[in-house]
Amino acid sequence: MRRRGDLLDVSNLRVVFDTYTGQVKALNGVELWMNHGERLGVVGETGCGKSVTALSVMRLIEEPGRITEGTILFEDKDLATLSENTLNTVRGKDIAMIFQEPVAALNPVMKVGAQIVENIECQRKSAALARVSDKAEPAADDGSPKKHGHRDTDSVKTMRDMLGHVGLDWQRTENLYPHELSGGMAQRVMIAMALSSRPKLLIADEPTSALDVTIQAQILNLLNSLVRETQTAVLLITHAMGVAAQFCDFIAVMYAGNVVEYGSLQAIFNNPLHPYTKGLLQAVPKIGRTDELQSIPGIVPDLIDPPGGCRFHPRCPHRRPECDKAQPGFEPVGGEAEADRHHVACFLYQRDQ
Amino acid sequence: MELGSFIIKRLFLMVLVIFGVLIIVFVVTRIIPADPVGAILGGNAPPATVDAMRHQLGLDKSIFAQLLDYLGGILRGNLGNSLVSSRPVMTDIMEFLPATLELAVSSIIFAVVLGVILGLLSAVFRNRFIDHFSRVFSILGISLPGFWLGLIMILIFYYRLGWLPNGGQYDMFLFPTRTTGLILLDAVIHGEWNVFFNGIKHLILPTFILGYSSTASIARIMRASMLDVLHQNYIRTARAKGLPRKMVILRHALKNALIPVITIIGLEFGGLLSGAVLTETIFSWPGLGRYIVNSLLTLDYPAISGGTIFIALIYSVVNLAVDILYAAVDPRMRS
Ligand SMILES: Nc1ncnc2c1ncn2[C@@H]1O[C@H](COP(=O)(O)OP(=O)(O)OP(=O)(O)O)[C@@H](O)[C@H]1O
Ligand code: SF4
Ligand SMILES: [Mg+2]
Repeated sequence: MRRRGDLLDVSNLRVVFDTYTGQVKALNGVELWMNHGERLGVVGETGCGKSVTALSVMRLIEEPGRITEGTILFEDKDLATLSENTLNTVRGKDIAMIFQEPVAALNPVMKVGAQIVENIECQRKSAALARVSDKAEPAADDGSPKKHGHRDTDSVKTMRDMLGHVGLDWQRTENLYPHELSGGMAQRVMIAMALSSRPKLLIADEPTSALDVTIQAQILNLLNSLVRETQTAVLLITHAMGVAAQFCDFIAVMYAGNVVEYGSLQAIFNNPLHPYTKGLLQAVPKIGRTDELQSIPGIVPDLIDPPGGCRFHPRCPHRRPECDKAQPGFEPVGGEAEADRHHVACFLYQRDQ
Repeated sequence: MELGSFIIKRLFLMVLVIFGVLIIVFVVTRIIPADPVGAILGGNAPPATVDAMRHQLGLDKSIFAQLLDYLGGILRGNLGNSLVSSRPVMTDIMEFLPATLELAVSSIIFAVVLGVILGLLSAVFRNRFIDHFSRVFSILGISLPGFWLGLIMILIFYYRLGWLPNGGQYDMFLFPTRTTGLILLDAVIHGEWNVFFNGIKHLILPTFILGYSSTASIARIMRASMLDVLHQNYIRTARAKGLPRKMVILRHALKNALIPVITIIGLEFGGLLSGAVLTETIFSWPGLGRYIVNSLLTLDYPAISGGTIFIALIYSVVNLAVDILYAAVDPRMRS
């Protein structure tokens, strides 16, 4: 299959959770990709699989969940099949992650400064390991082999710089414990930690949903300016279309375990094709709009026994006879070379129809 | 709050608790319907002798004056004389206390170390062999009666295999030099290694019997708490850093999982002290538990109340230590 994004290319990703009540088919062949430095927003209703997608990319899905199929190409590696040891050289170093509940995401019995330093040390160690194991490249150090003590003080300095970058005073912050931080401060700490290793991809799973509205904007602006400086790619998960529109270049719309539509911000907002995307956009309140906020009729499907064919068919106003028989392919609309990358999974737009 | 002021506050509370225990012990020994004078002199002593004895024991004063006498005595380290041996109770206790301390401390160390390791492995290798093993081990520890198990162990390891002694603190033919009263510590101080290893051999069975049920409860709590911690968000963060699994468990999960375990160590120690009464009897261990049992059988009030006060004192000190440990591990406790 043709490679689609030079940073990340996820295809046919399937994840299930084996629970007592049955197997939850959480991801049903997810497709998405991005190039270096791009920002992709993943949107969709609660329970549609956004977090599972994000965690799968880092292979952080835990029991009872597992990846059953699919490839997760990150640069030249397939993360879906990588060994745990090799994965640990990618986690934190190339891909970093921040979460919805920043206070709960920090270890309650460890000072926040130490938690950031730990990340920096861990990435240095795995970089050193990679250099040693890479025999083709001679161990070309910068001449002066640093003693361990020096490296430690380097890490502390980096930690303090990072705290400064996220707008925190290190003297006041580094010795605090997570419960002494507000949600906004904790998310700043998480951002400092995630970006301290200069990752190529930052996965942000609803980073502002748990924060006060005023803080939300601050954190988004901070994130925006930091990743712009370093050209870090961001996979932003959000259920707020408005946030995605502000922050992202590309959008992937998810429904019940599938990306049903993918494309540039313009393509998705100006020319939504999938009936679910259209419904979702109508549900977004716009400034100056006086008509009622639209919600999509029907309920979110049960993923233990999901609807066959297109999972949206029970709620779809445009359903066709074939919709409950086969799963629609994820296909480009409007030409191969199009910069919009507009793709949709819906029988209404299949070219051979 | 800083750790220092936390400790001061807890110390103050401890003094209050001890004072409460003293009052209760005093009141109880005055209201139980047995008469200490009768216990000393027998039922048909002449009234003049009885009156003289009442005066000698201070029982003819008002109850309040008696309480003051009693508290004043304790402050000077005087717990009265034993009605049986007429020796100062304090002297008796100082003789028997070290053996109990040695047994209780070795049992709690055994229980905490083994319980934490079992619980940790159980949670990390959930539903695998070690988990099943540790859960069966725990159920047995909580349900089997200690005295029965003790007798079975003596049967196996003494009569059958002859590997371990059946009781006592060390072999009769040894004459250890005593400094602190703690046999093992004294042996180390004086370099008497034969005494040390002999003492260890004698300590094994009683430690196991006394510590088994605590080991079991600690293993259960540790397992549950570890499983809970492993599902917390910060563990996911640690994994997302690319830390190897071993580091995630040892550096991030372990310390958090220990917090609930620490809170029960104090309680378990209380259980150990009361369990010591039985274990000391089975293993002829010359400790405070056996002393209290003997005093109960002879209605030796000063000895009973002295022993009780010491047990309460040990219990309070251990719980103070546990609280300090708790605050040291969990920063949320300090604020
Ligand atoms: N540990 C688990 N066990 C069973 N099912 C799970 C588990 N984790 C996720 N799921 C299921 O996977 C599906 C996708 O969940 P996911 O958390 O990815 O949703 P989401 O899109 O992130 O929703 P939200 O907006 O609420 O965060 C849900 O139907 C959920 O029930
Ligand atoms: S495939 Fe059919 S049911 Fe699914 S969205 Fe398209 S029209 Fe609706
Ligand atoms: Mg989510």
